[in-house]
Amino acid sequence: MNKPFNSNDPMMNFHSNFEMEKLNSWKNKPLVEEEYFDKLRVCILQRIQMDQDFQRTTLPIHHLPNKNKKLKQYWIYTSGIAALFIMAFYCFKLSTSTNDHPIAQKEIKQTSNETKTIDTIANTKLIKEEIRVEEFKRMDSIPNKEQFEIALESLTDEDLEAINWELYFDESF
Amino acid sequence: MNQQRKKDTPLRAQQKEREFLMAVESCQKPIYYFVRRMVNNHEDAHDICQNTFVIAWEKWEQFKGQSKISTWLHTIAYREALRSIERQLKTFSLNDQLAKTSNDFPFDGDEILKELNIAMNALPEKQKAVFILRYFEEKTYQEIAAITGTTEGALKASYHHAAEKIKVVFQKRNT
Repeated sequence: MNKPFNSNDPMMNFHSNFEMEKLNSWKNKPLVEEEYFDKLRVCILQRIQMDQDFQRTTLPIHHLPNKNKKLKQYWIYTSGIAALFIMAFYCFKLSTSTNDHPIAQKEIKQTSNETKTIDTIANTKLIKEEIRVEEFKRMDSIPNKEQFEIALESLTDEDLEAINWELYFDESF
Repeated sequence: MNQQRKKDTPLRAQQKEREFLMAVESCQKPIYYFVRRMVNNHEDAHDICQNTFVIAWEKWEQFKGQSKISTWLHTIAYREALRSIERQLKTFSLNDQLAKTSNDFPFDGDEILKELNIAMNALPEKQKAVFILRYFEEKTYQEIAAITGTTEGALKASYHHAAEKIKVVFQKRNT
């Protein structure tokens, strides 16, 4: 493959003092057996074949030719719908499974207790408001006191329950 | 027009295949020797050779014939070899590399040749590539410039530096 050194080439003279024949023989010495190159050629062709097969089997969707446009659209829509369905299913599962959890149960218990407390407070407030109504009845200085008294007196128990007391007995009282 | 193109495509593919096989046949040996001397290891050289020809096959249409096919293949092989050396340098130390080198080459117990090889491996990668291409492959500076992507002047300087360093190694050995 390689020719012997050209000793006239000034760039090749670095080895002129040494054993030229040895260096020449080393330069031309085969590093592998000749048969290896047949193997290498086969390996190269096999690699190319394998790469081509791989590309054919794992063809990405954007490489599909135009005639497969419908198939492409079908895949996009199907995968989109499937994704939405999965998301909806998980949301549903998440919302239903929350109450089953022990912590959730505890929270529900707490909430019901809190509701009860709120109810008690409301009752207390109502009682207080009744007291205030009584007080209101006694107050002489408040304007339209009589009108209120008349209105209240004329109302039945049911009407009284339906009254939004906050409207009439706000904090300014 | 389309029918003509359809007829042309298999013909072109066949031509590509034929040309590629010819290139493999004629260039695999010099490419292997170049890469082997660059990486000093048969297994790595084997892999790089394969990669080189696979890349060449993939980019076959990009080759415009502005240079020799062997020069183009050497360019790919040079880049692949550099990439492999870089990868190895990250994994192994320089001493490991030298140890691997001295065991891999068939020296037949000749110390001079072993030293020349070690001196060559101590060169920076670019100088080493230029030295191998000029000394072993006997490429012209114009061809080496195309392979390494540098100017002829810079290559001459690189070769000169490489030769000087190897000369020093041999002078030390003689004294």
